[in-house]
Amino acid sequence: MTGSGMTTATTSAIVPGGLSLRLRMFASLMRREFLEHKTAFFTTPVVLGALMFGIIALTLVTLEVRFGEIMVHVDDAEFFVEDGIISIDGHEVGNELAHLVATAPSMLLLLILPFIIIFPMLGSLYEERRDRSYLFWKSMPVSDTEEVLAKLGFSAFVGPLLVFAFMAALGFATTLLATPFMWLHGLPAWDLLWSHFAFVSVWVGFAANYLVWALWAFPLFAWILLASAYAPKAPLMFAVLPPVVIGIIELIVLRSSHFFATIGQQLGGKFGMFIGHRIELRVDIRGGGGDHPTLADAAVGVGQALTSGSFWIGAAIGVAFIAGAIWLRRYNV
Amino acid sequence: MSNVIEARGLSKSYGSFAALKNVSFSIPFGRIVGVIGANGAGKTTMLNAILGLTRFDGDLQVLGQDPRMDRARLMENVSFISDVATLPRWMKVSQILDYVESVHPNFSRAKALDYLARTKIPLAKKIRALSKGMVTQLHLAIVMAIDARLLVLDEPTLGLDIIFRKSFYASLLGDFFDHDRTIVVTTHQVEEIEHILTDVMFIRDGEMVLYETMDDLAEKFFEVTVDAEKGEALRALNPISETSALGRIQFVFEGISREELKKYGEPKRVGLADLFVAKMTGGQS
Repeated sequence: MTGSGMTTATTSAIVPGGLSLRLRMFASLMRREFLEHKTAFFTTPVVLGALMFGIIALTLVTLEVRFGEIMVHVDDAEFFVEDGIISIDGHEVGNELAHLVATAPSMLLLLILPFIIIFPMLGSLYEERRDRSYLFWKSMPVSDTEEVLAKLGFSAFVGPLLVFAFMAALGFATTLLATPFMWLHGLPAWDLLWSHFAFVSVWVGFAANYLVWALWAFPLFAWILLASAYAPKAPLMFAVLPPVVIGIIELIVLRSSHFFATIGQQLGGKFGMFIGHRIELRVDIRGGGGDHPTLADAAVGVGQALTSGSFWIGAAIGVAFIAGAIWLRRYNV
Repeated sequence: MSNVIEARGLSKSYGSFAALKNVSFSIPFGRIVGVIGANGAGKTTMLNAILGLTRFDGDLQVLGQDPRMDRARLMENVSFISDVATLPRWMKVSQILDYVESVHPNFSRAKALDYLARTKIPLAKKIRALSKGMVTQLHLAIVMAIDARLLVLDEPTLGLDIIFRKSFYASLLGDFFDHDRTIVVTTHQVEEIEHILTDVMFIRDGEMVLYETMDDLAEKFFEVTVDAEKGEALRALNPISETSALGRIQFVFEGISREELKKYGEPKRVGLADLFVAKMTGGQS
């Protein structure tokens, strides 16, 4: 096993346009991953999104028809627009309403996003062995390294970003839906909803902060791929059992829980930071407090990650897991 | 580089089980080599080594490359079908063509479509929805549309009916094979590929027990069937196998000339299946 990486490197270096060929191949691998995991990354968001959108539309129409009100108390409130500043009952309204409208149909989707990401990942190197299609994939001029990195790249980055883009589209659709109802009650839809472009800014913020979380979650993703590449059956069990057993042994033998705490901190803390913003969002538009993760938060997050020792330790462990997954993809057949 | 495959001392063990024991051979361009052996004899292990799918000991060059080094690059010029129905079932026919076209520099979509046009395979259907025979036809169409120097087929028609199997090999011979390509094939239906082979290799218990061109085989091995009472004289010539049925005995000889055998009966060419059984069991049946 000497110099296995050498020939690949020299090929792409000496072949003219080697890089663009590689990029083209990577794009087609992304397309293949999307097709394979269409249920998770397309059907699920679309069905769930359509459902939530339908419920919101129905609620708005029902409220309008039965009570002649939208969003319950808006009509009773004193409503001012002065010098471009909007206030209701004396409280200044910023972009809260716009944010609420832009995110309402995607809340459920956001909560199940971890499952959308993790389950396809668990199957990605397991299913191909189960249905023996690895024999076809391996007959193509795509290396095991490229395959594993493509699977990581899609389920951790490209796939979730597609879902965020879809959430933004849903936000746009809901903003569109809310507009005539605003007009009906003489509310300035442009100022309250559209001028903020919340359906873009909110979801860009979420996506950026997701990517920061994904950096922290890299060892988790890598571990899942390793379990997927190794598991002779039931990859979920192989992913969950070893860490649970290690944690329990630590509890019993050392009477401490550093292992669980470390994992929880690495993932849960950061994920809480990412998802927690969402949960804080209040439905009462007069109360303010609509707080979303922003690009600035993400930038701070990247800075925190890059200067954190535990981040780099996690990254190193992740790299080892990925190397293991590549090795298994190559020989565990 | 005159040989597609050069193997020197090829060995592979799974724990204490030796799947391949120090096998050496060369396969030149422009050959169709049948690799024949019982289940577990080491055929698939050998083919997997050639394809860079498994680790092994010894020296192996495929198109001048060590397959352990860079499978991806090797696959630009080597294609293979291992087992039946290994195409991803969740893909549509058109999607798999898109995929191969985008990752394989030597794939011709036009050729693949041309082959597919001769079948009833619908491009818009998922592979899941195709019959087993159609999946094999699709796989063959993809493989034949790849301009590969070496094609390895490991039981590519297992479980398919005879009409599919016949047309499979007819297509290979008619549309794919030429003097600078090589095909290595294993199958249990030896009789069906016998007429297309140029060379044959027998493998038993991880060892190569025979590797000959079909022409040499026809000069080296004969079968003679005689009445039971004439058996003694032929037995003196050391037949490699002897089978008796209905009062007659069939002997298979190795390295005895046609002229010599003519004294006792009519020497005939030995079928591969009979020869295989003779070499493997000594015909003690």
